[in-house]
Amino acid sequence: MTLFVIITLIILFTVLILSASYNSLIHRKNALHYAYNGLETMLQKRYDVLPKLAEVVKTSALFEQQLIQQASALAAGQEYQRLPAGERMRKENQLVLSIQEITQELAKDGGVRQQKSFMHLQRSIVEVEEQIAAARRAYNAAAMEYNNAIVMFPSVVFAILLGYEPVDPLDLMVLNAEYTEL
Amino acid sequence: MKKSIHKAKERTRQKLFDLIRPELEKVEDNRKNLYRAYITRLYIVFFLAISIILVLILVALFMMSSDPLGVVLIPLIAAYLLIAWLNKLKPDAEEEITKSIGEIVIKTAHPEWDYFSDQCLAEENFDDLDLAHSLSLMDGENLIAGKYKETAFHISYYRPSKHNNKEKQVETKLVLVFDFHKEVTGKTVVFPDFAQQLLGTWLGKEVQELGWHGLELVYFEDHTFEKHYAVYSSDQIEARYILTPSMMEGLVTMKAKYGYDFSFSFTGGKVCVAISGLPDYRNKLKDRVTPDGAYQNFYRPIEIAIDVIETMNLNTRIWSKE
Repeated sequence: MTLFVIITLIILFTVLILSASYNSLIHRKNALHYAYNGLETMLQKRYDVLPKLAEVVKTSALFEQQLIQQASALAAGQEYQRLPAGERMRKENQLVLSIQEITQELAKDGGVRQQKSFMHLQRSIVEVEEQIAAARRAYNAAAMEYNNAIVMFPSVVFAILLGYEPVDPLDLMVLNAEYTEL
Repeated sequence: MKKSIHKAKERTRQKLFDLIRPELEKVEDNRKNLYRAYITRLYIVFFLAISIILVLILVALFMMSSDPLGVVLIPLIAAYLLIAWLNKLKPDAEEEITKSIGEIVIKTAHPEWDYFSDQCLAEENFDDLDLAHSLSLMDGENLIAGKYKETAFHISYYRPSKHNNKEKQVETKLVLVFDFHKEVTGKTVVFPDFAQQLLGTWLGKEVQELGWHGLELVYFEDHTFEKHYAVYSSDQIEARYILTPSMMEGLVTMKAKYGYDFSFSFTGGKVCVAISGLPDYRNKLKDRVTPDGAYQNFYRPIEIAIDVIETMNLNTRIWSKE
């Protein structure tokens, strides 16, 4: 009888540990998806800045206008949204470099630099970039938690059974606050 | 650079000392009078208590009541009442002196700021920090309201309530409320990391994972920051939007610089900072009123508040909050 109780308790304890481990793994996986969705929302804010940038560029040279057209086309592409995370981030980095290049060119023009709309634009870009940086940090933290979970025992067993693969942290460029002090 | 900042601070301090010294001398005279009055009352109460006790003992013995408890109890009650009355006199006098000092320091250093010696911050300001319970056991006073550059702020002092005799462990706190320069829709709180300090890294983390008042634990990549603080938030991204790497570094520096425990809550466009472990700011009745004491008790918290504003970059307005 005593042996039966001990065996039952051991089984119950093992089931409890395994359930908690499985749930924790699923939680980490969902948290990773949630963090990526959050990042996408923030990136959408960056695309929302592009029309404002286009408005300021309107009166400028052809070079900047071409750049903004290219950047807008890049952001508007349907397939762009469905790219794998790594490829998508490379395109995003191109976009942020374009934004930086355009605003640096514009800032060389003293007249544009003094425009209220341009100063406002620069600050809104920095604010959006800060939010993107926060979303990137949230994603990378979630990725680290997930990557740890899929190699730790006993969750590694479930990770193998479910075919979970490690994910790379995102290498996403953002413009920092010094950017406004061009 | 550090030396020049230190020298500038020292100059400001000396200038403030020169300005407040004449006014403080008047407060010192008042303190001496209050102290003398207190000592006089103390002697009167002492002799009165002895006399009453002797009379009551004599009466009790004369009546020769067969109840020996009454003989002991009646004089004890009388002595307790007299001492309780005497104890009340001292805090009132200390409060009067402290308020006078506060008024002189604030009006001299920052005449453009408002000082209300009898008022304190409304409770809703620190609801999110879960301070409401501990602060309900405290007396709030010395509300300072002002603006430093672009940032409006309120500072209030809290000390263990004179009506709270049971929970003496409550420390003196300084609560600061500022306008926050970023748009915040959720709630984020930052606490000193007591769980991991008390229970160790693994167990402390497990306990923290349970969350706090419905908020989730947020991990940060800065290990030094993680060692000192625990962060809970309703939004993981927003928590990181608020706590940028430079902000985290600033909070760690502040903790190292002052040695006090800092707690923060960010919600509804405001940031509330509670600082615990401060020495009692009340001027004791027996202690001399000095410019240095006045500086430590009233100007030092203002310096901390300004440092918090600078560290958290609260004067940098984002475009949507200009």
